[in-house]
Amino acid sequence: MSGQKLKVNLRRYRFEAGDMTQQELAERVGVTRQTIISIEKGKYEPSIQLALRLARLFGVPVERLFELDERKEDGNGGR
Amino acid sequence: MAGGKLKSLFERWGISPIGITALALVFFGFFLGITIHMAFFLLIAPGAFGPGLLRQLGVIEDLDECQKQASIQAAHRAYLAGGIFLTCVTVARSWTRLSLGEDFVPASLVLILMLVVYGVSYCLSFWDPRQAAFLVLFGFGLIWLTFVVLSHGNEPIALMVEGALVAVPFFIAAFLAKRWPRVIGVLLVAASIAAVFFFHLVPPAGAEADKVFGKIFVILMLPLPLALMGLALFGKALKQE
Repeated sequence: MSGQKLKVNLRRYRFEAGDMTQQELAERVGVTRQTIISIEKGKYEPSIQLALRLARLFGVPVERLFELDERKEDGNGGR
Repeated sequence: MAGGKLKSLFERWGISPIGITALALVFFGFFLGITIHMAFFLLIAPGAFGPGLLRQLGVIEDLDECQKQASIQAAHRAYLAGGIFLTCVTVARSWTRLSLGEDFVPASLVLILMLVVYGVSYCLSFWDPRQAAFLVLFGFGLIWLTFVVLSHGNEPIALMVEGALVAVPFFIAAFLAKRWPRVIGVLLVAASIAAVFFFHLVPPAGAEADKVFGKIFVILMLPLPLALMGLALFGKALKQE
C-alpha cells in the first residue's frame, strides 16, 4: 500500500556463506526453491517468520537481508 | 533411481505429489470424459477442487507461504473472472425478457454461492468473528428493513410491526454478538436450522429440479450465512476459554 520497494540482499549473503545454492537454502528454511527465487527477484515479500528464519541462518539482523528502499521513500515525500 | 530423480525434480520446482495427482485426475477426467463416457468428467471435481478443499479443512499442509499466496491470488482472480462471466451470461441471455426465468436459476445460483462464500470468508478473514458477525447481522437487518419499507412504506402500523418482527432482531443480535458471542452463536445456528424447516427449505424426494434450485437459492441467501457466522462466533468463544 505504501508503494515502497523492498531491497533484498539475500543473494549476497548466500554467496558469502560459501556459495550456498538456492535449493540448499530453501531446504534449510523449509520452503521451495521457487520461493527463494521469488524473494531474490523481489517478486514475493516473505513473512516476518521466514525473514527471521533466513536472518538467523546467516547470523545477521533481519534488516541486513531486507531493507526499505530509501530513495523511493524520499521520492514519496520522505514521510 | 529414475523415480528418485523425478521426485527431486518435482521438489525442486515445488510440485507436490498432491498437485500431480490432482493434475492427473483433471487430465484423465477430461480425456476419458470426451472419449469414453460423460461420467468420467466427475473425476475433474476432486482433481480441481479436492486439494484446495483439503487445505482449507487443514487436512493437508503441502504449500509454503509463497505458494499459499499464489493460490489465494489465483482463487481471487478465478472468482472475479467466474463472477463477471456468470453475470454477463445471466444478464445477456435474459436481456429481452426482463426476468431471469427458471432456466437461469442454476447460473444465478452459482453466482450467489460465489458471492456468499466470498463475503462471509472475507469478513471472517479480515475481521475478528465478533466484528464480522456484527457487520453481517447489521447488513441483514438493513436488507430486511429496506424490504419492509418498500412493501409497507405507506402503512405506518404494518411498517412498525413488520420492521420490529423482521429487522429489529438482527440489529439486536448484531449488538449482542460482541458481548455474548457464544450465546448469539448458538442462537444463530438454531435460527438457521429453524428457518430451514419453517420455510420448508428441504426439498421433498423427487421434487422438480427448478424447485430444488429455488430452495437452495433461499438457503444460500438466509440460513447459510447466519449459520456460518454462528459457528465462527461459537468457535471464537470456545478458543478464548
